Amino acid sequence: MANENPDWEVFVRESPEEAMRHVGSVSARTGEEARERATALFGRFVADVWLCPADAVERERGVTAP
Amino acid sequence: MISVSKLLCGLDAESDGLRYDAAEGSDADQITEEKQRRPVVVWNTTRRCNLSCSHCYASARAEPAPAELSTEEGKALLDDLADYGVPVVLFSGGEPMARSDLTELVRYASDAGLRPVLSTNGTLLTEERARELREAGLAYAGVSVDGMPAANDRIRGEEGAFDAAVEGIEAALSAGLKTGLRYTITDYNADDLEAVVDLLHDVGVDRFCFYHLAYGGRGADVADADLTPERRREAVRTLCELTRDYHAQGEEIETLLVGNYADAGYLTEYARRELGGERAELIHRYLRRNGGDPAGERVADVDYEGNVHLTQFWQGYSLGNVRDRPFSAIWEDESNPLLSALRERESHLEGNCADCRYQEICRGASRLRALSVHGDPFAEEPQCYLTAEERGAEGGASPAPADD
Repeated sequence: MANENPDWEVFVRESPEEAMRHVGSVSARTGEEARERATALFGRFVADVWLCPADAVERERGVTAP
Repeated sequence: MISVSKLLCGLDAESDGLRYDAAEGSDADQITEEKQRRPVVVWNTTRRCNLSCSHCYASARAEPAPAELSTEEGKALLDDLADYGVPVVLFSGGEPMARSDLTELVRYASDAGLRPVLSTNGTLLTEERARELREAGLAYAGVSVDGMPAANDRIRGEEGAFDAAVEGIEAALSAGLKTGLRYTITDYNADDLEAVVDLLHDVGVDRFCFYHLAYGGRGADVADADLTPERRREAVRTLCELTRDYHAQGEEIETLLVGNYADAGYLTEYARRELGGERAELIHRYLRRNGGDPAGERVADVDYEGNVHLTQFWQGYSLGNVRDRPFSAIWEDESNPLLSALRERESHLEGNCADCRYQEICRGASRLRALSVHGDPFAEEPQCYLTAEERGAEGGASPAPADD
């Protein structure tokens, strides 16, 4: 994103019965800082927050053409 | 964005349908209209910039980012924005004039039915380029000047930046391109406000847009240079007085405030004291229609790598990327609990913002500043400068002027 830090994809769910869902990304220097930032944004709404480095996500777009 | 000149000098009940609303309209109609309004979209076309401003929200640098949207990706974005009904696209940066395809993109946006406008540091604006952009459909250029030469050049990190920006403004005006000022008020330059308006008015500028400091990007690093609430109140009051003085002399300059909707409450209070209760009521009604802080609703941002943000200043969090999903789909997805909560923030605001009498026209002002200072996007606005009495806080008396 438009800053010096790496991006971290954020996934949340409101209860353990649900699947995790993607809610965007935060930028942060470390995983710990990313977790703090994501929790500040989503902590009041969700039960669980997961993060992973954005550049660790392998993206294969348009596997099945619409 | 709040138009000080319109509220204090230009508003009457015949304009903007206000009389109609008062007589016939309903709150429900206004809310429906609000929900259907599409955002103005800021597109940071490149990270590259020839200056290095201390408060740059986009953390711009001399080199472009490695994965900036290409010309074709940019056109696909513009198509999506136009199809979605976005009214305005603001080409920003970095320095957007550093992109060699800027004119092509402006023309494409204009042909698609978008209103293209530009935010630039002005130093690369020549008469030839300004004319080329105007002919491509550019409707407006906002040029950043943050104070008189000493303050501006210190903030912008380059000696001569002030002179270069003013030359750029003159070139744009000569080319017939409507051009205005963008000015971020901090401790460095608050005292220069009147002098800059006077100087640029002499040059031919008649639109002056003042920004409160956003705590995003490098702006967060200079938050200690932000104004105190007292000084902010004084700066806004100065702008109100200056606007009225110009208009009293028949000079119809346009003055605007951006980035802290506590201004909405302040202007209502100012009008009540200086212009009377009827005028204050009219202003309040207008500001209700304006809708308060626009983050996540009436303004959106797409950065140079395609990440979608809640405002241009809030670059540390992205809702998604236009390479993965169209902007319109990202913006409509209220399964995102933060986006959804921002759109009904009245039920989440805390502290002084929770029960402020001006909540409806302010909506908690900058949620990014609340996040930056309090670690919570729904905490109270740390840069609210209304008094407890003005906010209608419990135990407070009726509004009392603190700066008369």
